[in-house]
Amino acid sequence: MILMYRNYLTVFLLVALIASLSACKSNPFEAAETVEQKAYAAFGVFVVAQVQVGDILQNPAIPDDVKLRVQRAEQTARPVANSLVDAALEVETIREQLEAGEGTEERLAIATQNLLQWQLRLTPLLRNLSEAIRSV
Amino acid sequence: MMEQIAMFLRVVGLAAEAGGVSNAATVARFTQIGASIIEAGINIERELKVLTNQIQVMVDEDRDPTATEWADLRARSNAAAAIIDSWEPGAS
Repeated sequence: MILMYRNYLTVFLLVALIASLSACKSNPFEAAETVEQKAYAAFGVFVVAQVQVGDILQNPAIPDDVKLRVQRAEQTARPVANSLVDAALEVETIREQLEAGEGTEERLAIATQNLLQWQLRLTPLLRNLSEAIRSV
Repeated sequence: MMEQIAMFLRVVGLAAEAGGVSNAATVARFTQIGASIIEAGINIERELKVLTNQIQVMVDEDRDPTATEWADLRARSNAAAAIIDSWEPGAS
């Protein structure tokens, strides 16, 4: 029950967030409509962050301890981000199988739920990564 | 640019922690952060715009990301990861 409340609250706050960003024309989360598109948005933002981390690590003016913190935050998030992609590809594969008359709707529902779970797992890691970048 | 992406990601992260917050002030804070992203996001806008446009095309075409699109994004991720993993203290 509490978990359900938290999920509803999360959705509400995400809607509020999206509304606050409605004036921004470059919000991938706002543009995305389906679960897979949202997953693509999340992974895309992660990749943008990765590029930032690469820039930080190659900047000689930034102290090593700061670089280590940023590097570890990215390396912690990366396996989850990659699992998100794997889960999205699995959903796509099952969709194609369904279109070909194979597989079941139940498998698709499970795979989609799995994809959502990876999105939920990635989000706090993105937060940690952003905080590490912001601390530079 | 780093500050801008950090701000954007911070918003994402705050939303993830919504279970720990429950008042209007927090929602207002999200709104405030969102506004600051719009104001400050000139450079990050460029990178996010590409991603947003890409997703908008998917929406317009009523489809999800293809395996090729995922592969392209993953290739960029792997390239960045190679740079990240190659760094060691004292390297630069």
